[in-house]
Amino acid sequence: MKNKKIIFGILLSLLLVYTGCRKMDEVKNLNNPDKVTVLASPEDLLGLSGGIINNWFQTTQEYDCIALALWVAADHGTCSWGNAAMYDISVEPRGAWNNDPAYAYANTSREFYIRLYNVLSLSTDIISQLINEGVVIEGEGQTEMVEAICRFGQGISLGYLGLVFDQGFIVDETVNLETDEILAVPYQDLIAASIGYLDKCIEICDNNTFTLPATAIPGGMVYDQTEFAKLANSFAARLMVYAARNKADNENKSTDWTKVKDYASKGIDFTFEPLADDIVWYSTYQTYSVYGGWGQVDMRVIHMMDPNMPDYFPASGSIDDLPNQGVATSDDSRLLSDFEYKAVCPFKPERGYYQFSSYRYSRLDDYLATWTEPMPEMRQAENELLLAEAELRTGNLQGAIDIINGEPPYVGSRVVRGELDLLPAGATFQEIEDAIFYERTIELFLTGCGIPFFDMRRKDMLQKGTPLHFPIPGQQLDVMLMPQYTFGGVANADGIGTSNGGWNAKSKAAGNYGSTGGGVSIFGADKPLIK
Amino acid sequence: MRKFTIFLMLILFIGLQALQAQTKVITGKVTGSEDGKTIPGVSVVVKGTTVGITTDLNGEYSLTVPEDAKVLVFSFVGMKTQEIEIGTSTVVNAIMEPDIFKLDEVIVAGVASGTQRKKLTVSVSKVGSEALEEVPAINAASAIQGKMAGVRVTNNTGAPGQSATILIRGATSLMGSQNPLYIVDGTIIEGTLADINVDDIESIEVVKGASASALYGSRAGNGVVVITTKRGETLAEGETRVTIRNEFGINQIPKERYISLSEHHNYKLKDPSNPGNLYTDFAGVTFPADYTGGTRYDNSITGGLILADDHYADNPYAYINDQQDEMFRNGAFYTNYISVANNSKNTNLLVSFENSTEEGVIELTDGYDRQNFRINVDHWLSKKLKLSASQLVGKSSTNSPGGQFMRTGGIFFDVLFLWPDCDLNRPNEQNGQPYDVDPSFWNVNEDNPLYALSQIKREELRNYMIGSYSGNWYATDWAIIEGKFAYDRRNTHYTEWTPKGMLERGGSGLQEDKGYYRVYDEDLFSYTGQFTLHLQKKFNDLSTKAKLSYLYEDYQMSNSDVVGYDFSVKNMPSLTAITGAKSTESEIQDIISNNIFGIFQFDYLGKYLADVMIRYDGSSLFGENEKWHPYYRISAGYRISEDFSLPGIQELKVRAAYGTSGQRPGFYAQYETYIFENGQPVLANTMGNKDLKPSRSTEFEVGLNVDFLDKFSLEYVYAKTNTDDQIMLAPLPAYYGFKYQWQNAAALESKVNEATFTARLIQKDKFKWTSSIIYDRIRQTVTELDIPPFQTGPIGQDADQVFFIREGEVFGMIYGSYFLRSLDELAPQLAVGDELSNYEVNSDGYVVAAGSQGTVNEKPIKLLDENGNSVKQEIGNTNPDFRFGFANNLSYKNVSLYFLFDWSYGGDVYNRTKQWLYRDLRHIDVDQFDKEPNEKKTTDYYSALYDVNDVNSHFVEDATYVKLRELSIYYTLGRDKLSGFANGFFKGIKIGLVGRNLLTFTNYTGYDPEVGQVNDNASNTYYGTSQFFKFDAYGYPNYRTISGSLTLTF
Repeated sequence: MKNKKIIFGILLSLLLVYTGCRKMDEVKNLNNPDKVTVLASPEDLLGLSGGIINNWFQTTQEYDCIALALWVAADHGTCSWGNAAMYDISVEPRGAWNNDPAYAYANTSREFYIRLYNVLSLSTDIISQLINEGVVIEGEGQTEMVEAICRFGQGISLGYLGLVFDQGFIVDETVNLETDEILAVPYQDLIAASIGYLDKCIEICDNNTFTLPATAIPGGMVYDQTEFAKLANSFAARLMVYAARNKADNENKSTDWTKVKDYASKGIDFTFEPLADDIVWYSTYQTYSVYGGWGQVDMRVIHMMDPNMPDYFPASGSIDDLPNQGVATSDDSRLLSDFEYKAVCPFKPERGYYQFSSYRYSRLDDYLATWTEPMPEMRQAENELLLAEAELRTGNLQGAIDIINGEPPYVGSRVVRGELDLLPAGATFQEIEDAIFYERTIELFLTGCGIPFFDMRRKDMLQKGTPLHFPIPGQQLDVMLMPQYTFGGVANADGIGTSNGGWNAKSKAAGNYGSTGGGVSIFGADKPLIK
Repeated sequence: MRKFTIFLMLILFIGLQALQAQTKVITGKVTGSEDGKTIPGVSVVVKGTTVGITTDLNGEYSLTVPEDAKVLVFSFVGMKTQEIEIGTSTVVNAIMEPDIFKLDEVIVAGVASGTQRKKLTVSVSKVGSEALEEVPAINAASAIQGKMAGVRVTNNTGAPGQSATILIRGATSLMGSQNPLYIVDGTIIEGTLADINVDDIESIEVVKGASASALYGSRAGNGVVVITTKRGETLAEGETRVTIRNEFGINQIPKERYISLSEHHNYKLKDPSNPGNLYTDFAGVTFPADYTGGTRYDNSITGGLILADDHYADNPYAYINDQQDEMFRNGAFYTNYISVANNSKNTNLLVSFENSTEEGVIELTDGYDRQNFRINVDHWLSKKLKLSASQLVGKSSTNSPGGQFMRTGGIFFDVLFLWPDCDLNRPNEQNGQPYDVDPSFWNVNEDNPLYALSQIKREELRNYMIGSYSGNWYATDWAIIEGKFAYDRRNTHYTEWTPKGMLERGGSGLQEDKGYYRVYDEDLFSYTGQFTLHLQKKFNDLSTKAKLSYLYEDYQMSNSDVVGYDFSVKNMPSLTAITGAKSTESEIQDIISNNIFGIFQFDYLGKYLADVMIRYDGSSLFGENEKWHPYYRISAGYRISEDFSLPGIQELKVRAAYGTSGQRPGFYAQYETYIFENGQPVLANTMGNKDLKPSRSTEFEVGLNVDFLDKFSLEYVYAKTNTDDQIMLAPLPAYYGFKYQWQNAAALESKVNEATFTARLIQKDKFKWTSSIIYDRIRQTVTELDIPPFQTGPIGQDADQVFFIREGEVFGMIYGSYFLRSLDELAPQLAVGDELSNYEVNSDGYVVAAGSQGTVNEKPIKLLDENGNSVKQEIGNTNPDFRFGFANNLSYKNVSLYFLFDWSYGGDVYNRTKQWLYRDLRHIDVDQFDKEPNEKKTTDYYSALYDVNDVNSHFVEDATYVKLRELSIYYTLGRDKLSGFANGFFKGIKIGLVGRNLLTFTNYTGYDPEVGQVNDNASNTYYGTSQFFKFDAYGYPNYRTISGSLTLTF
């Protein structure tokens, strides 16, 4: 009797306890959607596409990605801190890129690579909904606009993979990741595919009417289909021109300059400069290259503006051994407006005085003060210079001169900002080419990721031993069971994967404190981040 | 929750209906064998039943027992349990003997129900209130430091308000949390132990190893810490006890633990014989005419430093300030505690309040402040129905040092790097604010830490309630039915404020910050509902116990995080005053688990012992296809000394256990996830995994217990654990779009030797001396890894690359470049045509070019592979060879002395702090001033060792230490001595001195060899985990506390 009561009590209690509980399968992740949710609603695709350009911008302008390394590898800027692989890649003589997944700065190329694929994958997923699933977004031109943004995303992500890496993988809405065998293709194929996507973007813009949402590219400027097409044209020109790996490549028609001319002539007549908000839009590349104690301007650049100034800091380490204590003078008024003399260089003497400089870049100082300034990614001048070079290389020297001299409708930064003399009407091919190179160096300082690096490699001007491009990141090679490989190092200078040229025949040997490993060195970060 | 209330009422209802059997009344008196005095509070229970009572203030009891009751069991903490036949008598007296080795101490964690230590078949360690009260730790985690074998408690940071890290028998996860499961009075603690005050704690039991913790299933892979707080029921019936404890003291860093810095530099002076008067007058630098005082920043200084020709850092500064001394101070420490406990016939209660403050050792920072209120109540509704409630309510506030960037060292970095010839206490020339932000012209990046401390404010407010409510129905003499509801509720409010107008460095020179404000709020509510059936029954010589239980867990957490830039007005830390950008994030986590388990414990004649258990856990954290997982244990013990009389041996037991427990995946692990940017889910992150399982730790352990010569006791355990199905973040080919997938993809093996030795050396009337030693040795190896080998380590500053996880490798090894130390090591990599005779070993023991010592060409040589590249290899192992804890209790008459030494032998720490100091040549090693001319080394040599912060063998340091962890001296007056004073109002007075972390003996050159970093916030970071790494990089140093204590009981 008593036992029955107990058993009854137990069973009833258990039942009550259990029914009071929630079920395990009620639990959901309410913080992160899955793919199905992300792509579920046509309206959401619109918002989703609005993040694509931001995602790409934050990747190419990121401290932890490749931009700072490319900046110093081109001897455009200089920074002897180990951070972001800056010391390793700029050490003299140049060593091979360390592609070991365990390398302290493996993230420099790895994150760049992975994040660009992230942009590509998102663009492709959305396009897949539009093309393969036939999803239509409400509102006139909205479906087409979303496709245009995604084609643009496919183009610039795959394009930058092609600019930086020797090979990669092409995946788009026609590829089935589950069933298709996906093989690596050389960078030329990546660039070609990226131009194809940009062409599709331009084609959509040409045949539809829409206005990009303000969040897609913030900053007050309204991008309708016309402006967006211009932007896509400029990017196509940029990718085509900067893709060449060496001088031979650049000049043996592997670059289709007629096509470049076509793109650039339809390119931007404004500066593509998203407005920073310090939360979603910001550039740590533009921050660390100019922040106090960080990046300086390479003496090579100062030397270009003032030939009296040497292109290397004195090996004595004494600023007194520079003419005029390192204070440069130049016909180019930008020396005063864009650059700032610093009597004291923040670097460690032990790392080599060849890393030192008496100048820093000051044109972005407003950004450092407010963190909410426009961040120039592609200046109008860049498109003009791409067009000028295309005119030059397709035989229209006068056309190139006019652009450089700022004949309307061109701005001509050389004249307007630099207040330099007009290029004479009879300027030679070489003079025009030099003027273009000079303008790119000075006017496009710290805008798009890698511009000086790409520009110098196609002229065989990168220091001997500098990698001309990067291997697929070591971690990814491991994951895909591919063999490890790399580029760079003076011993490997073949002019194909590793530079065998140089910007200065007098290029100095290593200073007192050059590379200790004589090749691959594995360094750790040696400067705490400011934010 | 509503349903549990109904359930409790149901128990009540049935309980009141229970039938009363035929009874008789037994009375008696309990006295102690040593002094013959009566003992209040002794538990008297009818054997094999739950019928019982405690003795009153006079040591007497009166108990109504069933007519057929045969034996009474008398038990009391610290005394041997007595069993006395009732026979026909109605008066049963007992004489209690001291339980020297605590064989009768009752363990409640990891077993079916309260089990005497001598009958344990698994490993559970216990520290009782007696030991905890010697030197009351600031929180529950620190309280067991050095007191249990196999349990390593590390104060990885000295920051007040932070809990120590507890590692039980090493880690069981390569990527997940290494924290044990914490349970306080039956409540699973989801937050930190930092807020649990020790004065309230009756005992801490630590369930060690997977076999013991199997009872706790899929959350217990790292072991379980079970904390029981004090209750009125331990008092004699009718007794009321008031305890007041006050402790006042200081927190301080002994100056001898400051990091030694160089007091000389390697730059040319204008006049080598005179470094200058007001500032160091460097050659190559032109100072303005009116430049005075230190090396303050001045834009009109031109030129640059020139390296001294000899490159020796032996040139003097104009003067030397000890910047560490400016930043560290003695902070106040105090604890005020009061508790009132009472045991009435049907109700007992304990009410307590504690107020404690620990300021820490950093200037301009308040540290930690806490108020805890507790009430514990038990009430017998009827003879068979007991209701129990335990409730802690409290709040704490923690001020972290301003300017301390979590990942970069902040003030702890700056204070070491600022040159000694600058003055931190001078005001800013720009706006007159105190503490010049840029006190040194030559430190282009390091700010004045005092300025940051005075400006930036960080405060964490925690409000918490921890409660458990249960009803026990003693249904029959062999069954107890228990329903329990327990919860942990916490609110965390964190703010971080950079005021508008704070000076900061911009692109060129100083600028005024527009301000920054961050508010983070977290609300956590986790509760459990548990229904348990306790059974115990004796079948002739076989005693059995069983527990069947259903446990429901529900965890709900939500947080929001708002960051805003640019205030409209000054001194207004409010998000409402933000004019610039704001960003807002929020998060919700919801976890539900169901667990069913049963354990059966067998005891044949008190000498053959065994238990069997099985548990099934289901959790929403498991992948869709793997919702339920089983755990089990079998264990057995044999008390040999019960069968064989062995000379000199009082107790000899062997035992073995085999069992499994596990670790659950993190909340996000099973899901396919996209991460939001600007409100859009644009970043594909992890690919979901429906087959994700909890990890599984399988342990086999054997143990030996022997007590001998009436003085000594030894416990030795060997345990081997294999944790497979480790939950790992596997990288994916980038073109998938998703970066990673969580997979069950690794295994870790642990081997543990642990021993505890106790000696009751002297037990005279007036003089007593007990000594105990704990020992452990833990070895761990990664036995399987199905993802590419990867680096790991603390987040930030690329420190996440210091450790390497690779199949076959020791877990905890430091990975990096190696500097050659002998010509034999050099031989294999000698270039063709080169000769060994071209090299020599220098005075530091490194291979360098022959004849290069003292010159700029003296450079250490790295181990290279056949291609001439630096070889990355194991350069250190953070696992200590072994660890000892050595505790002593001595008493002479009324004076007692207690001290605890903690000895960790071997094991390395990577000293990144030191390495950074080589960067700027600030480390004492670089100072050549006192060196003989032939021993001097150039700064080039030290820069080569620094090697641009490459992880290398030079900065691996032996972390061996001996610490005087705890020390107390008390003078105690008991009730008998106080009877003539104040009409006997006082029952006890205890006054003394207490020291914590008093002395450290070590060759380690950082603040403290007991250092480490814990990665938190594992959810979205690639290799970020809540793991503990022995890595020294600018944490808040540990400090010592010295205080006076007064305890009054009445």
